[in-house]
Amino acid sequence: MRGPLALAVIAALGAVLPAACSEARPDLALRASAGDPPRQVSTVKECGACHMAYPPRYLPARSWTALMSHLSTHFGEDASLDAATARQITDFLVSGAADSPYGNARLTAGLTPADVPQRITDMPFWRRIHRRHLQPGVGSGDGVRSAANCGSCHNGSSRGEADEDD
Amino acid sequence: MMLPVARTTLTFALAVSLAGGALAGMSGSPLRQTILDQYAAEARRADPGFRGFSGEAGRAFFLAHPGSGSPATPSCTTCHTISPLNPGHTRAGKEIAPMAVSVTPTRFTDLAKVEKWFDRNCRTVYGRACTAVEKGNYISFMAGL
Repeated sequence: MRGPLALAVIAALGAVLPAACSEARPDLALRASAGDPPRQVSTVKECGACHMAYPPRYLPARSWTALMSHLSTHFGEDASLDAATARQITDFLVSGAADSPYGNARLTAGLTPADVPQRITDMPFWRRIHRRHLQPGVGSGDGVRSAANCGSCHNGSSRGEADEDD
Repeated sequence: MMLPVARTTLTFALAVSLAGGALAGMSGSPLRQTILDQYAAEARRADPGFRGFSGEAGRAFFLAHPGSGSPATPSCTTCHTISPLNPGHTRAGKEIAPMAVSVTPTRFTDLAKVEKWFDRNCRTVYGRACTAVEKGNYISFMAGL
């Protein structure tokens, strides 16, 4: 019952959250999950240069493969990498994806095999957890800047440590 | 008689301090100066009349809105703010250390890193690769602040 209970706690906290979190909230800290492949230096360094090195289990393998195949057009940015580094990072992301042994059914719930979400914020599990914050404009203010900026509300996320259970 | 290890260390320290002293007046770091020298050589190959980099031209390049790149990043200032003395933010919200060398002394001391980010950001902001002159001007601007 750990998962549902944690979701209930998050939902309860969500009810008292301001529309935009301009400060880190220690009470919403996300922690590393034991269910991740060992962290990988290139991923932390290269992905982490621009944003949190998102945990691989937040997208299915097909999404990571698609994302990593067009890094020169990465959400409006050119995030090109040399082929060897890109390969290394892709292998890591795929090995720990939502539909890998490191993932679980809750992470892929609501996805059909044809769905290839490009953003974690398009994943049904993410939208379910954050449904109270999905009004237009939320997450785009100066404090949060972007819904990609998990660490703005979830203290600790900037290190790439997150767990959908906490 | 001095131990070989100690002599080597002393020689190395002397060499570093001499190199640093000779070049510090130009860009503040021998590593940065090496990068600038490389861009200068490239600029001379393209234009034998090249007369050196201009921090002022680098400033104009940094502040410009060329209108030829990605709509999300119309200018260097989109992420770095109009003052390189201040931290910037990526579009995903992560803080970027100030570009000004006086605030972030490690800036422009690693050629691979410098080339990686010029390659990416020249395309997103200018829609094309930057020339060696533009890169040298940019670094000169950031090193002079």
